This record gives sequence, structure tokens and C-alpha cells, in this order.
Amino acid sequence: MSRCGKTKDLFLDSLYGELDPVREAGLMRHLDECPSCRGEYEAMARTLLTMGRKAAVDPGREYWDGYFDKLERRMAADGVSAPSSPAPQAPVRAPFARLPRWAFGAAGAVALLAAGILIGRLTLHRVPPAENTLAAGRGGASVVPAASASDLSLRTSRYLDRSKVILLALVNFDGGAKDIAGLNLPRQKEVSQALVKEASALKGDLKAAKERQLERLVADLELILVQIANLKAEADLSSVEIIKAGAASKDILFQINLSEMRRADDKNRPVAKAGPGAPAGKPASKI
Amino acid sequence: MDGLDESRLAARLIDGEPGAFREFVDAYKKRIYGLAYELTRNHADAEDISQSVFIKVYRGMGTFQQDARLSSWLYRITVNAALDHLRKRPFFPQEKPLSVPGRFADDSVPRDDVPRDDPGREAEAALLRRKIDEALERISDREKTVFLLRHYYDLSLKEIAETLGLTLGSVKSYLFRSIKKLQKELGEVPAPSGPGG
Repeated sequence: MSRCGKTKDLFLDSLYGELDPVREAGLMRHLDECPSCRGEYEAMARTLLTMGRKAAVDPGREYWDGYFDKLERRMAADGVSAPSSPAPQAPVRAPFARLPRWAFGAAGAVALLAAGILIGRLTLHRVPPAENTLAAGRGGASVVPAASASDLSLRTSRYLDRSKVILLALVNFDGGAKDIAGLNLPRQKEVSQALVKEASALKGDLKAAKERQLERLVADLELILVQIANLKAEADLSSVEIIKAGAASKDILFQINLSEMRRADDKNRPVAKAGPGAPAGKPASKI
Repeated sequence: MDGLDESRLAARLIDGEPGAFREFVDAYKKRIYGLAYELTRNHADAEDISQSVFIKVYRGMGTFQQDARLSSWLYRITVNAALDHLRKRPFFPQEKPLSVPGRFADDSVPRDDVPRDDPGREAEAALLRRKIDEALERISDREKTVFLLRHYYDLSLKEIAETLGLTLGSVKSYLFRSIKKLQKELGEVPAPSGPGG
């Protein structure tokens, strides 16, 4: 079997977070060298994340409220002695709904790829302010002056990049590890504190620029970062797992990646001259 | 529910602790119903199967191996019940999926990346969800079952192999093929809307 063939055998294990670190590192090295495999891996990761948007089938609250009574009636009809069943005193669910294990693997995979490929493209080939203005013009009238929009774009991009590094460290931290020192918590806390301090001003600027979704993303990130910043030095693994689940339940990494991809896509798209004859494209983000 | 909570709940069920069964049903009813629905595409069948699964569990809790995952055991019973049900049914019309907001992994929470005051975004998200459902309907039953169990129900490849009586290699092969087919089916679907646009 060719090297690419052997590598492809590892895709599923990697995407679902079931690959051991040594082979994961080997796979990543191969993906760095082989654009074909990298493209295939990236496409599979994106498909998995898209499939994660599937809606739950839910007949509605009224149905669920009566579910147990119906079950008890059926048990009685079937001659099964119905259990004595006081309603639970406390909610069973954890503060954050637990996501499947794959969510961490796939999000991590896409995040790593995006970090290595898309972000790299963004930062290495950053569009100069003039071009940025044209891109903004494709989406219609911008309410943000070009220079400040560019500045806000850079600040937002840097903020998301730094937040992602923190989140990736957390996501990739082995929950089965016995030693939390591997997480380098003091450093994570320090950076998180700095990011929390920046969040307020950034949210205000994004609000002024009417970038409501980015504003919401920064607000979601802020909540997670506050939790990290407030972790005690002797934090136990369950605290870390709760934060991980919180980040996953909000699809934070996925949203950051989408934001980056969208901006990369906007900047890589051939720029049509704005004017009456210009084709109407999907409105681009102002920043 | 994490592994520790699952083990505790299983132990309480085995001990016949009052209230444990109700807690157990409340914790798993949506996922069991959801899996049964995905396999049968019929509300009445999904309800019937999910109830029969809980009754089987209630009757057979003593046979549960405590070193196994409770959820895996439960999904295995559900898949077998659904497959039995489908085998017995000579003809079954396709039922349109119920239109529901929310995400699969977090069943009761509306998506917060789709602003409710943004009809365009809501329509886009609804379209994507429909495409996903349609894509799943276009792959084979075996591929779909493997994909559902791995992707939405968090069973490991080994657990899926045990549940479906397949080799690990076959499970991997089905899963790989299902993803490739889904990728093709979703090829023209725009990426889900995210921030920044």
C-alpha cells in the first residue's frame, strides 16, 4: 500500500479523536507534505462538521412531559410492575450538555488545518487596506470607514487567533491524563485574563460596526475565557472538562474557523469593481 | 451524562432505587427516541421502539455488565429493536421528518448561531438541515446506521462493530464510504452560516 493509502487509513481515527499522539503527529506531517491527502482530510472534516448541524427530531415539550406517564401505562398493560417513580429532585443534565467525543476531534482537526492553512493564508497574504475597502464595497454601503474597519479586522483576527490557541490547548488536553500540569494552566490563565480585559472594548467596537455575529462570538469566547481565567491553580480535571464541554456546546472553535474561512474567502475572491454593472454577490462582512 | 454519572445511574437502577428509573428515562428518552426515529423515519414506530427499549432495560437491568457503558448498551438494544421492527414491517411509507429547531447533540437548545430575528439566516439553516436529512436518506441503511451511531451517538468503532455484529474493518469501511457519499451529497451546500457574514 502506498504511503498515501496508509495515511488515509488513519483519517477516520484522527477525525474522531481515536488516534494515538504518535500516529497523529505522523499523519499531520504527511498532510503538511501532501496537498492531495490534506485536501481529502480537510473535506472529510468539513463534512463531519456540517453533519453536526443536523437538527434533533423533537416532537415537542408537551410530548416529552407526558412520556413517562405513557410509558408507565404501557408497562402496566404489559404486566410489568411499574416502578415507584418520584420525579427527580434535581436536573440530571450537567450545566453544559455533553457533546460527543468526535466533536472535539473534528473541531480540533479543522481548527488545526485552518490554523495551518487558512489563517496562514490570511496573515501571510493579508489584503492591504485599499483592497479591503473594495471587498467591503461588494457588500453594499459600509458604515465603517475603511481605515477603522481594517484596524478592527486586524484586532478581531488577532483576538480570535489568541483565543483559539487557548481553546486548542484545552481541547487537545487529554482528559484521561492524571497530571493537569501538562496544560500549563498558569500561562493559560494569564493569557485568558488579558483577553477578557480586551473583550469589552472589542465588543463595543464590533457593536458600533454592526458586526453582531462577531460581537456575539467574542461575547461567547469571553464567557469561556473568564472560566479559564478563574480556574484555581489546583483545578481538577472535571473543571477543565466542563469548560471544554462549554466551548464545544457553543461550537466556538467551529465558529472561529467559519469566521476565518469567510474572511479568507472574501479576500481571495476576485474583486469586482463596485458599480452599477457589478455582479451582486453574497454580502461580505464589512470587516 | 458522563461516564461516572452513567455508572452511578446504572448501579442505582440495578439496586432498584426509587426514582432511578424515572431519572434514567428522563436522561435518555430523547436520544433513544431520536435514534429509533432516524432508523425508522416514523414517529409512531419511534415511540413504540423507545418505550419497548425502556421496558427491556427495566426487565433486564440485572444482565447489564457494569464495566460497559450504559449508553452503548442502550443504543445496542435500540438498534436491534429498530432492525427487528423494520424486518417485521412489510411496507412502510416514508414520514416527513418533524420540523424542529435545535441541534442534534444538544436537543433542547435552539441554535444560538442562527438569530431568530434573521429570517434569511433561519431559512438558510433550515435548508441546510433539510439537505443533511436528505443526504442521510441517500446512503445505504447499513452506512447510515454506522454513521448515526458514530457521529451522533458517540459509539466507538469497536462498540459499533459489537452492536451490529460486524468486523472492525467493515465498520471502518462503511463509515468511510458514508462520509464520502455524504460529502458528495452535500457538495453544493454552502457552508453553514457563521459569524462575520
